[in-house]
Amino acid sequence: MKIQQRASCGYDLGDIQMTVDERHRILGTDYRVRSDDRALGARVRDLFASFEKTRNAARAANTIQIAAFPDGTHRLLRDCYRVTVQGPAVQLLPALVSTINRTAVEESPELAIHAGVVTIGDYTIAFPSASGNGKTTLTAACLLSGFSYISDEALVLDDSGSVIPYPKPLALSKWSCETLGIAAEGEETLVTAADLGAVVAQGANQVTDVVVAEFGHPGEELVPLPKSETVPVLLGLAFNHFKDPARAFRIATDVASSTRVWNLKYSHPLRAALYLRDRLGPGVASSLAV
Amino acid sequence: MLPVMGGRSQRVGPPAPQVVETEVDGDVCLYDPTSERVAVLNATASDVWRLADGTFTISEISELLASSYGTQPTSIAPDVEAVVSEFIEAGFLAQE
Repeated sequence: MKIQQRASCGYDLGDIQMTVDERHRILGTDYRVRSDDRALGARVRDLFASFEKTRNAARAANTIQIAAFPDGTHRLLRDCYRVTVQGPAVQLLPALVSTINRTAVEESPELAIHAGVVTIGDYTIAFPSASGNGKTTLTAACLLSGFSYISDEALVLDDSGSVIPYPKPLALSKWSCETLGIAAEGEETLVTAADLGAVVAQGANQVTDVVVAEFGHPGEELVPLPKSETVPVLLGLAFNHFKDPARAFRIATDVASSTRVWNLKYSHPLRAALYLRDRLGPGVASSLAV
Repeated sequence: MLPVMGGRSQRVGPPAPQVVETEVDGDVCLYDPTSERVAVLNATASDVWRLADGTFTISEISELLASSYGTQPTSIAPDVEAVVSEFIEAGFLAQE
């Protein structure tokens, strides 16, 4: 067979030397980040340090490149096609994290549910919520208040209902940074658990508490909910339940059966985090069994 | 809500064979893999579901639940009829 013409990419990277080549396995999928900017490479290493490094080749669709072009712009390319264009390379990091996150949860072979997840002692607390309801800010507030980090994005559960950590960098809005007292770097500020003085939880955990959080109330209040209310919440917020709906139903009902379920009304993320630590943390949790 | 064919003398159930049933803290959760529909039943609907095995009519279920709840069958029958209609509409009960 003769190849008449080589298939062309959307952008020709030409002779650009990619000095950065970071490869990580994230929720079972291999990702590769390439760049010609060493400072950016160091930041990428830092942001994805919690994920297993791999030497495997990533699929083209999971290879992301940030490169300087002759016109002075940096471009973020995925599968050789432009995702976004901006000025300094570091400003492309939120788009890089967002691109990896979107595909990682969708491609995960495990059930992934939109939720923030933190641990304290033997307790693992999930905040299921859609985007824009303060889940990341509340997760970050918990990390500033002594909790360990599992994810600000997805509660990932294996077949037995054990939690698989997905400690992606947290993307904080300007409002979140202001509320938490963190210096903002732009529209979105990426931070790691370590940046917030927290550690990433290791090993398999079972969810002990599901907290349906509502921001905008005059104070902090935690009210128990029927366990069965968790089932539609978890399934309604799942990213990939359509891959195996029967399995998703089984895992969601298993989790609902074995957890405590709460409605949290709160006025401020940091106050809510401290309130949760005092109400659900080790030492007092046994007296709150419902 | 569709009226139940045969009214309150119609036998209710049995569950459609494909429906998966799980209890979470006393509440019945139903999943139909063909329609991918999920329902979480409250306590009363869960009690109706447990009696929907093809043995009892709506009137008989109403009498059994009224006896258990300490109320009159006539006051509970409309709710039983409504929830049975929802089960049928959702495809959770076998069709004759």
